[in-house]
Amino acid sequence: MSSSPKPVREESCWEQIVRASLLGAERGSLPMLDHPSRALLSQLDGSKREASLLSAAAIVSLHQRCGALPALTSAVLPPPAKKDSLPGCGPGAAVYLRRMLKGEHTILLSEFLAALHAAGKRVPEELLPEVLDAARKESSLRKQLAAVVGKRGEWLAAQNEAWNFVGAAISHQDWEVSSRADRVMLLRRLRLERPAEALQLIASTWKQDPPDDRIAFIAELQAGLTMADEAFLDAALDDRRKEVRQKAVEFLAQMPQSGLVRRMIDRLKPLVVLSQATGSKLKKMFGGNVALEITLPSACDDVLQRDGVEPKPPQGKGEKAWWLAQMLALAPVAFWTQHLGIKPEECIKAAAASDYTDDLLPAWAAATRRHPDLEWARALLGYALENSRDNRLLAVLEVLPAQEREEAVIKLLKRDREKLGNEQAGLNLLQVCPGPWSINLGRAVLDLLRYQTQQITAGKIKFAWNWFQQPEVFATRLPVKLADAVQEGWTADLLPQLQRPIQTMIEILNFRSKMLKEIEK
Amino acid sequence: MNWTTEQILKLSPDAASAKAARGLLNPKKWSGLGTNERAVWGLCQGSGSKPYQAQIDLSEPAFKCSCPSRKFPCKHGLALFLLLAEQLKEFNQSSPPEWVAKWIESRSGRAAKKEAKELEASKAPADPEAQAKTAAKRLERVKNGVADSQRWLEDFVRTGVAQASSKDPAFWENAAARLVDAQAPGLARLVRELSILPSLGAGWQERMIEHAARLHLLLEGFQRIESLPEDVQSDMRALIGWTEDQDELKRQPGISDEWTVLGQRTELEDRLQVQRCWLKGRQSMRAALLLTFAYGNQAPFSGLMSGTCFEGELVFFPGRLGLRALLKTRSENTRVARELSGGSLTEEIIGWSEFVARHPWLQRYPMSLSGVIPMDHDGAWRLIGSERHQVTLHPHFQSSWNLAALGGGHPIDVFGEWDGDYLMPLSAVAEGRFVEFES
Repeated sequence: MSSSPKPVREESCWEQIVRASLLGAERGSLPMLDHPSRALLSQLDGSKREASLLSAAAIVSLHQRCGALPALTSAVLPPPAKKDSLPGCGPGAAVYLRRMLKGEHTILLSEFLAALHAAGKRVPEELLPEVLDAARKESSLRKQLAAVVGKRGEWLAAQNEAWNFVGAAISHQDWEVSSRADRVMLLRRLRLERPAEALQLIASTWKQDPPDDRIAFIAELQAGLTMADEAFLDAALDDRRKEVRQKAVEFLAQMPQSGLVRRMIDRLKPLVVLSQATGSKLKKMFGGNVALEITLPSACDDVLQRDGVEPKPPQGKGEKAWWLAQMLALAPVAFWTQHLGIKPEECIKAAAASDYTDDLLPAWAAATRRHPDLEWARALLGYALENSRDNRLLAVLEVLPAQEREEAVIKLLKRDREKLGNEQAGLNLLQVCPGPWSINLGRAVLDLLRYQTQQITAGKIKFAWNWFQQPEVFATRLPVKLADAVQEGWTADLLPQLQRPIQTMIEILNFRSKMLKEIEK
Repeated sequence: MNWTTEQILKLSPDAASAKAARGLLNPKKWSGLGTNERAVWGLCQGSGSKPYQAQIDLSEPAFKCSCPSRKFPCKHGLALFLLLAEQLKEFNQSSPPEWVAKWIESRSGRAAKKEAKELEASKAPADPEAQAKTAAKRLERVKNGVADSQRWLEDFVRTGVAQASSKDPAFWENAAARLVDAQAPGLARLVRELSILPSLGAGWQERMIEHAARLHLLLEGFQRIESLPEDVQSDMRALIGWTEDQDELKRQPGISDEWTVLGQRTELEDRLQVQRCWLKGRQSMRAALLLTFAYGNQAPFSGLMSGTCFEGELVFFPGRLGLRALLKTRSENTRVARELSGGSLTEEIIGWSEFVARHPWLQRYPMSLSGVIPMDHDGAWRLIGSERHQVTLHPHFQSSWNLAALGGGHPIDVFGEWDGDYLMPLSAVAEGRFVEFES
């Protein structure tokens, strides 16, 4: 049959079979089978159309499969990654990393990466995609990223658009056309090295940038803030968006030399003075009680509003006192010691004796945090510990050096042990004590929690929903040296609503402790 | 054998159980923790007044716990095992309390009884007449099932394979269910596998025709199975769903070698979880497939860890394919594997086509490639060999970026299951380090 005519179209035998099968055996014509396996194919019973089509498909496809060779590629391989000098972390540490990347205790991921960095190690190659994904979703993880993903991570990120935050950021030329996230990344990096250039970039497109971009960009000025930023910030006081104006006020207020601060001081000077009766040098010399004479501002005009004073008071507050409090919070506290000519303690005492205690003191505390002043911080803290234990005043703790701050918090943790959650001043102020806490502070925290769980279980303190709301945060700040101690000393018959947060804290602290040990191995 | 945390967690029926077990890893929640060579036990305080009695027979391992959980093993069993692996110092080396001793004894008794029964069975098959009757009945049912399946397949081809992607799931499921009823579970599986082909994207039509044709070949071949060589008959019977008597198999001599565990993959087949564990012998260079099954909530676990080597004896199932095997004996000691002993892309493809020639229904071939570079090229992930050849990775493979990261553009060794079109990677070795990928 060598003379039999070939099919008109140059279609392979397999293609004919595919076409016939796709159309359906009832419609398509049976293929003309010109194939090396024709001896087999010719035995098929053509009267059974479907069966013979399937048989032909089996014969021809197997024939092809058995002679198959791998396909040639047209791919052009990119240059391989350069060798990393740092070693990858060990398998033990990788187990913990993998667990976090799968969603367990993700709160510890940034600590893991920082510890890895400190130990001079890298993320194991096969986990890089998940680490990069985590950093894409959570930009706070990007700080130590470059070091811990190494050259391999940079090589990998260069191949995936989603990971473009690693390695070379966008350049100045791309400023106008890049996404908000990319521009923020560029600003953040630039602001640390050349702050003036970052400001220039922001200013270059400020007028046409949409409000949400403006809010994001102006926030980046916090790092490296100097008087060089003043003119721009002062102009931003006229922005259409409130969030932008608030940021501008905040940053201008942080600069004692700014026009806003000077204007505020000028306005305040006549409003708070020593009263005539006590203002004499004589009285001062003999250390008698001083009194303040306070005049409330008469109006909150456009100019004052522009400088950040909100005209409408919160409910239950007099509007003029509210204006004064806001003005006070914007001026450096050092001004008062100089202006009134008395020590911070005396200022505070006089304010406490005035009709406006509750306006003056919190405002001064806010000003003390804005323009850190150790003397004022100590004075306000001393007053608050003795008298009100007002959390707004106690917040000046953040100004103090770590050790002094912790000592004060420990003192507070030992008082008012029946108060729960943020009502307990010590627990509340832990918010301004970043981790890791000292062993002493850690012990004091645990002692108080143990006491409270015991008392609640015994029915002596009433359980409240706000009791110990953030066990995760506590666990990230407690020193890992207490990982064993934290398991001890809880009352045996804990109520379930107490047990859950305690258990969470124990679990996370344990996880941290083990993970850090593995990294050091 | 020393169990590691990772090995133990593989026994967990689900992620929730593993998490719950981790919550019980505090020795304070336990009392009476003890262990000896055979067993481990402890009392765990639960929500009830009486603590739960958890115990593990380490020889299997087998779990028992007095808690009401229907998970198996329960969180108490898992936690007890994890505690043993992580905090051995909390356990007393002692003789077991009575409730443990009793259970272990009954298990040993059961094992002894089973052994005796097997011995008896091997000597005198119980009522050969009844057995023959049952076998004949099943054969009849399978024959009917095969005939029914042939009609179904011809109808499918008559109306055109192009419509397969728009078929209702019930179209496949009913056909598969009828085959299960006909006691041909293997054929049912083949039908189910047809149904997922459209999800693999471009070119699925040709693959569908090919797979349908192979199924047809099996059904046709079954009509005259007696006329085929004995080893082909074995292969076909295994494909259709007849099982081998594994106890009988285990009595046969096997192949002793040092076996490397190249990779494992678990898939759900109609409520049955099947774990495939691929081995390769160092001297025999023979590939082997161990299957482990588990129903419902339990995770199948071969007891072997990917990336380790052990000395052992395997018995291969009869048939021309010669891949599936049983583990007859194994050493307690393992060592870490640092290589996959693979070949070039061309060598491996030729190796595969030889298997296909022997066994046209071969679905997954254990492919060990040495010196390949993973790359995203032309809309799909590929492995590129030194001679500019390529294979395409399976569209359902989830860890392509991880594979690329592991290589960093340098050649690495990759092991996976090759189906003739796609490679599903299970593990890789880069710079002597073995990495397993999750399926």
